[in-house]
Amino acid sequence: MRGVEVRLENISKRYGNTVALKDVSLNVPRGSLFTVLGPSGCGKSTLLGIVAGFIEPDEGHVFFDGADVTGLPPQKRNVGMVFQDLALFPHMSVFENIAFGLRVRGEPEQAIREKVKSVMELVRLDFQEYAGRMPHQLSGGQQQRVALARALAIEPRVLLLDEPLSHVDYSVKILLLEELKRIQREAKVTTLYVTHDQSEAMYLADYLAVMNYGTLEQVGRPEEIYDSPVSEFVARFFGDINIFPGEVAGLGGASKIGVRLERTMLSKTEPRVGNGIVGYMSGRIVEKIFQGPHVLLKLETDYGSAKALLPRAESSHYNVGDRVFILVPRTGLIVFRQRGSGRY
Amino acid sequence: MCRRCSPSNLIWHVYILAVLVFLYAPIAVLILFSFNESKYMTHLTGFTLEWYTRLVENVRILKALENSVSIAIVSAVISTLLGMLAAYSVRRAPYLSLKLDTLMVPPIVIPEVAEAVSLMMFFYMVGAEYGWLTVFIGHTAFNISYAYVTIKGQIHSISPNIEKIAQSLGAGSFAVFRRIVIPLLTPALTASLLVTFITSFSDFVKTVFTTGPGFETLPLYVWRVAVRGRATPELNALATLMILVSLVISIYYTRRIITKLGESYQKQG
Repeated sequence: MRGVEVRLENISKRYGNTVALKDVSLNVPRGSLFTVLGPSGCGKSTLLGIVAGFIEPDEGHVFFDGADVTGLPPQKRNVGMVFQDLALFPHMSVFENIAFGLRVRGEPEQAIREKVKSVMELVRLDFQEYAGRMPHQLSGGQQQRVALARALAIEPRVLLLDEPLSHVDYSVKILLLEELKRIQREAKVTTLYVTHDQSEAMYLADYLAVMNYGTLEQVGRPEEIYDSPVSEFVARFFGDINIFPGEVAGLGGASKIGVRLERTMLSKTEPRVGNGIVGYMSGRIVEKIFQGPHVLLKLETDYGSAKALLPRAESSHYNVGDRVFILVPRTGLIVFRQRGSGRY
Repeated sequence: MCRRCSPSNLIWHVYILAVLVFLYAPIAVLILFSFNESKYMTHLTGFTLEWYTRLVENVRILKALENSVSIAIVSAVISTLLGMLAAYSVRRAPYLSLKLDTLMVPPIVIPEVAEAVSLMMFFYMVGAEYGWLTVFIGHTAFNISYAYVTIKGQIHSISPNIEKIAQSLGAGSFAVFRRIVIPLLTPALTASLLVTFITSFSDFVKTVFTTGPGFETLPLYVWRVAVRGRATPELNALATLMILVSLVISIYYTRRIITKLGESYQKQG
């Protein structure tokens, strides 16, 4: 299979007075798994629809490997899609579902059969057992695999996934995410994965774009975005963070400082500033939530509520009602200014 | 006192019995006398199939049957096709939905006589020759509405993403329609064909107003003969056959189509 490089240039789309996308530019490298993360209504599905060709942008262009496909209808773009509701053809067997794209292309029967066999192998669905079944005779996870196989059978230039796992149970979701990653690597197909679930995005993405109100807030590798979010929105939507009002010497003006939960330290004795600690505040533990390997502590401080994520062993020193000091460390400190941010 | 023989229960049973008797007794009597040897409907004398064999020999009845069936079939096919296209266009252009509903529903609720008179006048004004074509147009005019309403419901139960996926896999509009939409609509299309066939086959009012000299359908024949006081056992036999046709279709409709429609709503809903 051959993946292409997908490039979006200054895409804008309005529905009446509502702006769905505002001047969005994006570069999806060939063969990568690119995740678009954002809350519902942020325009991420519109973006996907524009790449697929179902939606025509008001402004801007879409390029596949440098060729402008903006005016091309969906049936000529050679794009594989999986929707949240999967949309399997209910009147066709698994075989016919997967073969559909090849049939409309008029491929010979023998080639169709071989191709269906090979993609079913790729998504690990046993041909003998499942090819003849109807969609409603399959489990949710198997239906997901059929939907993916159907999209991959046409050897798409781009694979577009629109929240395909948001209706799946957590345990199945983990399994399918692993599978999806493996399949994407094996097929080497450029993949655009749209989701509102940060755990999916974190698990999958080679590259990540965080979207809000029709614009891309930040684009980068997941670690970069996690460590250096450009805005409070990004910091909160990709991971969780404590944000305190603060002034940073040398930057001037009001700003806010952020600390990821796992970097937020607690102490029972009053600490000294310096030695890696840039500041502290006092607070009280109001809730202790067990989360497997970690324990989440919720705190009330003079500057609002805060959270700390401690390893289980360490958390045993702290109980609900305890007065503690919350330490702001130098490493991992994130500063938010009016616009943009940087690591301190 | 046991629950089953309480007074309210008794009244309930009597009521149901009365409903059934009033509904079906006349039909039962009619069927019974269609096999009666005697020419008169006063007493049963013996079993015969004579009235049925006479039907087959009656050229006028055969001609009326041919008219009825040909109009019903052509009208069912054409109105189902047009109804399907109308219903599908609403899916493609949702803003048309209310406008089309407003246009399509009245023929079902307007009194048939009013509709029939207006059609008759219309045909007179354009100088049409009354006969097969005018009756066919009359029937199709309301059958489109029945078809539209029947099919629209099921079109809505198909996820729009199904069509999008088919398109992304390389299917053009026509291929999507032929390979996806039509197969998924089969239960609704069958239902529409049956409903419109029966509506046309059994229609009387509109036919009376739109027919011309020398052209008659089965209901018209029955009425013309009966109104002259010649309610012969032959008519009983004819009516029995017409009831049989309707029953077979309605049983098929309820057993097969309704269950299928229900299933597909559940599956896709």
